[in-house]
Amino acid sequence: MTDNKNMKEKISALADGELSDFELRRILNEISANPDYRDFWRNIHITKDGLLDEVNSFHESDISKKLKKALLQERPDEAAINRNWLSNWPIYASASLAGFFAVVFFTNFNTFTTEDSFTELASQKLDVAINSPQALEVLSQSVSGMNVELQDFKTNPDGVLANYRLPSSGETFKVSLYPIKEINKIMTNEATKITYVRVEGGVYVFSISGNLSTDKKNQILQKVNLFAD
Amino acid sequence: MKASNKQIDLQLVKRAKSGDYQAFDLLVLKYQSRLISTAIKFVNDLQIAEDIVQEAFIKSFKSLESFREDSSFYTWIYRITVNTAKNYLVSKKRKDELLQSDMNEEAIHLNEPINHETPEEELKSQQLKELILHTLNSLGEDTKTALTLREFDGLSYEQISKIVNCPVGTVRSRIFRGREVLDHAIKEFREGNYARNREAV
Repeated sequence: MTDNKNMKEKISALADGELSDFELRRILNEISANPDYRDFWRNIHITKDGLLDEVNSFHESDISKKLKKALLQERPDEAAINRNWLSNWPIYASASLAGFFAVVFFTNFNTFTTEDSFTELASQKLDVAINSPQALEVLSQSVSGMNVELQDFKTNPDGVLANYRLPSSGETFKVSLYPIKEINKIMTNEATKITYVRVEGGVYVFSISGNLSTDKKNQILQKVNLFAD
Repeated sequence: MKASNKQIDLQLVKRAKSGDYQAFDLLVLKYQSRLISTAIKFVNDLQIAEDIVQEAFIKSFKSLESFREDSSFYTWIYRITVNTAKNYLVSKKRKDELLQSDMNEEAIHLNEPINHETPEEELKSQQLKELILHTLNSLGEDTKTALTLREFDGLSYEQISKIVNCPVGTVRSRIFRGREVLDHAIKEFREGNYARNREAV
């Protein structure tokens, strides 16, 4: 069976509640990123509605993309999407801080002369960042100024992962942030590049992988490697 | 044991509660058309109905933490949608009252759901139902039996495997194969081929 069929068989099983939580976790990202899988999921439910005589003429309406965009634009104090992220992921603040520091660093270069200065300031600002409206942006801070589209993001108790696309070239890539103890979760294919983000709370690994030039990967890493060892 | 729709959704709701937006996205894809169909009965405008359903999903996502897991997600989001539609009408009515002191009959009855589907839309829904049933009936006997036991009787794969005397994995494959054919038929329908084929017949 091809990968595509294998995946669709899992989607079919999911629609019937016959997929384990383990398998579910593994396939959610793939479904979300593939329009064909999303259509298959929708059509399964159109079929179910049709057989129960509940089908309607609005099956062509799709608000899912607009909804996701709207949720991503919500402020953290207004959206649970942020609350979850913030309550479970204080470490993500370091990613926001990376963006923040990029600005601070370039405007106050002389202030930060040692690595410890960065570490200390990162720790000081951690609480501020957690409560910052910027927090929703999470890893997108690392791609600020690149005119990218956020395709998907995923958080769980082990880390955060975001998929981006450059509309100008169609290039896609993944950016992630994990505590160093979770380093095995980081993709090692697609020419992954990593850097370390160190704050007093610990060391985190920032990674970038995917269909993107090395120059662009380096450009993104530059924005977060201010904390690097 | 039969897996109810409520239990099936719960698996996704739990993932969504843990911060996995993709799981919530699947619930959106699953229920959006039903909810748009509900909202449009109140507001009689597709664009506004879509906005109301979007707002309802945003509200539900924000308050997922408060969702009781012994409840049905669909019932919950349905209530949020209806309340959002009613709130919209109340606020619209207030705005209209400011502009026009003498409300007409139509505005007074805005809170009552109306049947929005035009004859063309009703025909399209009818054709889609017809297509689904026709495609189901055209499937091979084994595939049709597995899918029918699942969709009409709500049996689990294990129960079906005992009835048809084959491994659970085979049941899973048969149901998938049936859905693959249905998926293809629905795609054709969307592209207009079904109507053309019917006309040709």
